[in-house]
Amino acid sequence: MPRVRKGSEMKQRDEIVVLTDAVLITCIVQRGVADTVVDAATEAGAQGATIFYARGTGVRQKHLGVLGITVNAEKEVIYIVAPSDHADHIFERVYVAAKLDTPGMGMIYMAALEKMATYVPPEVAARFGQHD
Amino acid sequence: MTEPNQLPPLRGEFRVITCVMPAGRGAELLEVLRREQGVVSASVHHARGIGTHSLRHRVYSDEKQVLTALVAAEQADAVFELLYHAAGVDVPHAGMVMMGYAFRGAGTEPLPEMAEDIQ
Repeated sequence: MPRVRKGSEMKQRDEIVVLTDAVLITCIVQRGVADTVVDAATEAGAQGATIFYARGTGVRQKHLGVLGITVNAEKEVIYIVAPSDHADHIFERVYVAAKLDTPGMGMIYMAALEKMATYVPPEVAARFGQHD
Repeated sequence: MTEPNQLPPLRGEFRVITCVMPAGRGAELLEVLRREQGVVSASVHHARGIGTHSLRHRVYSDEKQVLTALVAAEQADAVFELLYHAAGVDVPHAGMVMMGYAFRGAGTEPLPEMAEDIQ
């Protein structure tokens, strides 16, 4: 969940506070690595993460040779929503913590969100006011 | 084999709406989406959510469900608002709704026999 910060573009529409400067970071790692990713992300400033399991298929046996058998096909997928001006920092910290520079360890990508909505305390929403 | 009249759709304007919500509401929400917005291109899976109050202290870990819906761009705002209220993410630590982009999609049209049920 992105922090509500001064400078965020927020809109009040039918009682929904919409944040428009958020980014979704998706990280796919081998099963068991998600906690490392979440720890790195929270230390970097992320306020939360959503984790679920998946099964990965790919070219690991063909191109990684004997290393391919060490890659677990069971994956964990981590969603992290972050403010766009903070997302690169979180991305880089997760990249390093999950050793994603090593082939077969997984992947990470970042995509812009048009908008997102979650609970924002009324006093915080009031501080930012309303605008279209 | 693809028939000439069954070519995949061309590029267009789509939105991918993802809703992280408390576990147990997924199936009900799929039905709400179908009934009220005619959205049949949605799926739900389980997840676990981790959140923090402060930057350094993990304070909760919750069972969640994640709903992902592909919708036409012109319908996206209505679906977004419906999900926000119906999924109950308007309370603390419940979850969030987010909307991203897709530029080619299929499977968003309901079957003709389902169209009659849509309010």
